Amino acid sequence: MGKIIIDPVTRIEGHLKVEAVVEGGKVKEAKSSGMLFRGLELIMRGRDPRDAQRIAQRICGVCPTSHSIAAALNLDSAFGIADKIPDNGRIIRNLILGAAHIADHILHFYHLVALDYVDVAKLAKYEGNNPALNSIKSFIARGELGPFVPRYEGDYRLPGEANEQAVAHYVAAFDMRRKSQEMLALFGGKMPHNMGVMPGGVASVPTVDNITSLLWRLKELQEFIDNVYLPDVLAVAQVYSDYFEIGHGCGNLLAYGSYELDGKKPDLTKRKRFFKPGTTSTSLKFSELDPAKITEEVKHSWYADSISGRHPSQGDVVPEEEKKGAYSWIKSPRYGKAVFEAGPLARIMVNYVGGNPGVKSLVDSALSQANISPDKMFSVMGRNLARALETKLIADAMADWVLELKPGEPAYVSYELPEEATGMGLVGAARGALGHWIEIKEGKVANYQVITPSTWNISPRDDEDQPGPLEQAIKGTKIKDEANPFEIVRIVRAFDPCLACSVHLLSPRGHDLGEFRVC
Amino acid sequence: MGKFVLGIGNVLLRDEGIGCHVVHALEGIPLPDVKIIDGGTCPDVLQLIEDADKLIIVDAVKGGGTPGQIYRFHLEDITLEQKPFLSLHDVGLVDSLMLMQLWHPDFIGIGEAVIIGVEPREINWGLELSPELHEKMPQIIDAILAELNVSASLSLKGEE
Repeated sequence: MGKIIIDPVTRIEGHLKVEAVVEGGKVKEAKSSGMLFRGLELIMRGRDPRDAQRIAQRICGVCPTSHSIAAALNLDSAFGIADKIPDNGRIIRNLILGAAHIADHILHFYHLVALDYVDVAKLAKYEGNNPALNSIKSFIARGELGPFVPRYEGDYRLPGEANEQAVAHYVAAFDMRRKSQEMLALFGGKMPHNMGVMPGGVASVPTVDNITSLLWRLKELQEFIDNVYLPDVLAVAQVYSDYFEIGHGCGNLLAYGSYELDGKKPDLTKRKRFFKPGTTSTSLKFSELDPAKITEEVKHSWYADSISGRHPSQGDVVPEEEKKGAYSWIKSPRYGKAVFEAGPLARIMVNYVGGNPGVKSLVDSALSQANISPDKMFSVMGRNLARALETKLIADAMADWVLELKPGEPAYVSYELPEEATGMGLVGAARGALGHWIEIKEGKVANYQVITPSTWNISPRDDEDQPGPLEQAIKGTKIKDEANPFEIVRIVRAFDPCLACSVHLLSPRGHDLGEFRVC
Repeated sequence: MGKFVLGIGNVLLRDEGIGCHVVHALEGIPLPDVKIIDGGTCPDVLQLIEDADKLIIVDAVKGGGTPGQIYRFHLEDITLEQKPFLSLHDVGLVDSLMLMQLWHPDFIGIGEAVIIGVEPREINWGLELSPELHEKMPQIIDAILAELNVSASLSLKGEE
């Protein structure tokens, strides 16, 4: 019996750790742990509620935009203005979130996932004259393989030319990602950590100028998504079709919904959203979302058992570092006591079974190209495919939304700070269901709770000892080579995990630090 | 084109956010032709710095010195670990800068970026710097101004 530990904690502290016990070439048991205590909620208490907007964004360097939207929706509802956001404000928020999603998904596929399936090192022998590929060749020649490792010997299957093309797209993806971030900055003011989204709407107004600036970038992104990103994902899916059988997971999917199409309903679960909220499972039946069924359990997390099983609006943070049987700083969110997975797969499948026509026709066409049935989407490749499909749906929808903006009309509504109030902000972030909850007393934050998508997906065992979604996805996986467990890495990456960010400490190598000292 | 100062770090983790605190202090000093960027916790800041012909990065650096110790070094002095990225959080600034050379051949290159690092005392949840680092702010700012060839007297004026 062997134990595989994947723990990239060494350089950046406080990250995801995965432990898998392998017996007879198969994972018998898996544990995923978040190794950093997240005390965001404690910082919020006693502050002006409007600070939540700025502070929540800093929780994470990869998804600040989604946190800004969740915090704004949360404060809108606490301030009693959830049904009063002007259309311009609602649409600009959609555009800001959409731009972040597109940038994120392209980055995730080309700069993390693709490297699992595309062999960059093959380019060491490149003979052609594509400048991007030659620049990668010289990168490799200098021994700077850093961004492209590790390599999984024996499991790269793309034929030579397709492989080369995918590497060239890797380089092109940088430019696309930048275009998407520029779209975000057009209305968000700055990137990272945008200043545009705020309770009441947004701080920017539409002008003919920023509408056109967004449109030409979006056009280019749509072309890239249609002609490069989606075809690349489908090509990988065809060659690695066995990954539609790997990483099935818990079989339950939960989506909060995202992109407001209607600003007049205060209740987020009743509001018309581009991706509607709901749940589904391997039975492929749709159910409405009921946020009251969400709880967080802590039997296996380093928190006091007294806070276990609470709804997030009543949530608390009571660390207990020495707790027996605990192995993660992440709590276990559960929905009706059951284990649920969040993410693009959840969003796509909830809308597929929930009768969203745009989603249905795109998914059906992808399923027929990949030659699989809908239940195979519950898999590593299904998660990667769902991410690409939703990127297309979002980009195409943005092209319509931007034309609904009305220059000269307001994008913000003013409000009064309540003395006592509660709020909830639910949004489909790039990585899945993101929820913020607030309680205001005497005009200050009395409680603020956040459940991120990765908390759902990377959660440890719960009070009933049910393993979390990632743990279930890894369990039972056949491992060809324990020293090179690429199957597990591919499963983990398809979830696109994102843990409480992030300690970016640098440590100078090998040198006596004295020589760098200034004063 | 021009000189860029990029502060990175997480302001929710006290001294880990020193880079951001420093760039906010710099914003109060008149520095024409210098771009000041708060990169926050975002490892993905490539598009913000691609035009730099001088890049100064300010960050917390664990070098074993006393809290507030200021380090100056180059990116090539940093260990790049050849490890798998499990999440996008693992794509660090150094990786980003290396990758930048792939699609932007005119980029100044990692050899010319200078890091001004500050030894943290406390990396824990909270918005305030530790007193040691707070006291060191004028020296940290002076170190950056020296890098920008601006005299320290200007910094004092700017802080008034």
